[in-house]
Amino acid sequence: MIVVMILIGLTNVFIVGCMQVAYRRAGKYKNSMIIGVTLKEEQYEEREVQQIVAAYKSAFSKVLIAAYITGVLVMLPMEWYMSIWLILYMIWIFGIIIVIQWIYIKYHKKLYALKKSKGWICGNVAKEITIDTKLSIAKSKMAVSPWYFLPSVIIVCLPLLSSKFRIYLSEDIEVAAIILGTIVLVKAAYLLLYYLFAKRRSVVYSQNTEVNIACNRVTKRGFSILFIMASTVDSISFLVLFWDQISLGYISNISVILFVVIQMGIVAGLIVALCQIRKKRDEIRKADDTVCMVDEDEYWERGFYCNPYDNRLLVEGRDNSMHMEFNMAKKSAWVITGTIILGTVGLLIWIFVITLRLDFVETKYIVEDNLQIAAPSYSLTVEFEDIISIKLIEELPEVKMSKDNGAATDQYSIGRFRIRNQGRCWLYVYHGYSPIVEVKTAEATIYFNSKTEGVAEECYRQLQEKTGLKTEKVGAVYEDKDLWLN
Amino acid sequence: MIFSLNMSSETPIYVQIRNQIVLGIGRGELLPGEPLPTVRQLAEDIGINNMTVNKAYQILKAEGYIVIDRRRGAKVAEVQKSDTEFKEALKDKMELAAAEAKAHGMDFAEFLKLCEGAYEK
Repeated sequence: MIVVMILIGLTNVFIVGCMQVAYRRAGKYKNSMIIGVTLKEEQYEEREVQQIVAAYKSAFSKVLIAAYITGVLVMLPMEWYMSIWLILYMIWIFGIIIVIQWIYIKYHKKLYALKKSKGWICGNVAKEITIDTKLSIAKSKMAVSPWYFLPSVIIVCLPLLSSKFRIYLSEDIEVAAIILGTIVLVKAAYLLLYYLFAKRRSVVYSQNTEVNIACNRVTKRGFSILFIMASTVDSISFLVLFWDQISLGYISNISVILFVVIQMGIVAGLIVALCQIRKKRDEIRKADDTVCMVDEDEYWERGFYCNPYDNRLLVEGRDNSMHMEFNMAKKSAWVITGTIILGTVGLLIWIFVITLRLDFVETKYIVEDNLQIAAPSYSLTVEFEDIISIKLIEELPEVKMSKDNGAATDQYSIGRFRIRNQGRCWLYVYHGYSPIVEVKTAEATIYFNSKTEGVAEECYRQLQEKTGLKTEKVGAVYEDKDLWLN
Repeated sequence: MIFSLNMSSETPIYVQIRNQIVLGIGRGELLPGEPLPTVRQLAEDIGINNMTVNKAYQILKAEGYIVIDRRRGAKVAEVQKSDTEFKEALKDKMELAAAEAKAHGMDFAEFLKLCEGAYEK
């Protein structure tokens, strides 16, 4: 648990670090922009502007310090209840996003109000769209062809050639759906990113066509290569996991760690490469003295983009970053944003309900016409005629188990697991409580106990009566123990 | 050639595209034989429907400013000799412009200076 806490704590520091980089950049005057407001250099140097920028930086630094401290503190309740920690963690993560964004919008509005009161206009108004005909002609050859995604698709499909892997997938439709669904979603996401970034509208930065072509080529070519490479490396990381499943019959911890490391490497690589692309583009723009300034502040007044004269759904974000934002003047943007928000809220509520039930609703056992296990999210019914043996044991056998679909914390293990080299098992075990009832069927082994004294013993007795099976009593030596050892 | 379109203007976008390309040819920013973006490329960059750009290109083609090849796309046409029909149409436009200038109290010398300036541009 301590390792998990440290890992998530480090992730929190990483998240706040990313926000620090992104939002601190907004406070630096670059490409005629500061806190999302377009200003000429002489306007930026005005005392009132400097005061607003200083106030923004100060407020942002205070929030950052608070975010770093709370990012570590929020990990402490993890030892307590998983559900409570999860709720606190979500409050923390959404809290810092909202507070940081609120600070940005507050100072952005302040600066824009100042600009309006001074009557400053910088360049063309955004109602005008600038076109460079030579750039428009050249743009189709800028991005690398999407066909280069094909190797990544082939790599991730390679395990399907193995009959062992096909059997593994056919054994459990739920697991197969999760694995294949994840792969399809990840590949689709990379392809979508490719189209969003590499195939987007050309941007006219300058009155010089060569500068425009160079800047757009750097961005589009860079992005297309980046997402193709990321997709290929991602496929290799999946291959590592599947290789274990084929050769060992289970996924080893080393492979899982390797998978996580590769995925984190992809994220880190994407961030570094994005920064490099932006740096290169800025260098080209810096050398140019015929900058094409466009003042579209009017459409960013509320902190988000809303331009009815722009037909695009997605536009490049402000604050000197390279992310994409919706054009909220379009109905589809509201529909997509609403769906994402509702979907996220719905998903979070669903997760909260599941974890709260797992933490606070105890599993119930009914032995009547069959054995019914009423557990939060993972209920099970076992027919008496399917039961091969029943045992009452003091603790779980010392075998290596991997979770297929369930919840495993320091307090309990509930759900479907897999005993390495043996087969499936169901666990309804509260750790630190004994005895444990072991019920074996031809398909799986079921282990269950209760926090309430005497419940497991009573179930065991009733099962003996109903099935007529003669079995060992509490404290008996487990006969086939060798079988369980990995 | 770099040009701007006003998306909030009362002048339709296809007319603005047509006018900008004619201005580009007249000013020498677009040379005879120079390729133009395809309908799709231009529509994507402006963020409008292909049909709007296509309409502008069809007008430019009909007026003889551009030639459209199915495989090679659109390109600026060679300099065309001003025929009678063109001269008549231009005369009508000039008459209207001169009338508007007079109505606004502009004298002949000032009007001529404006015409010279526009032609030299």
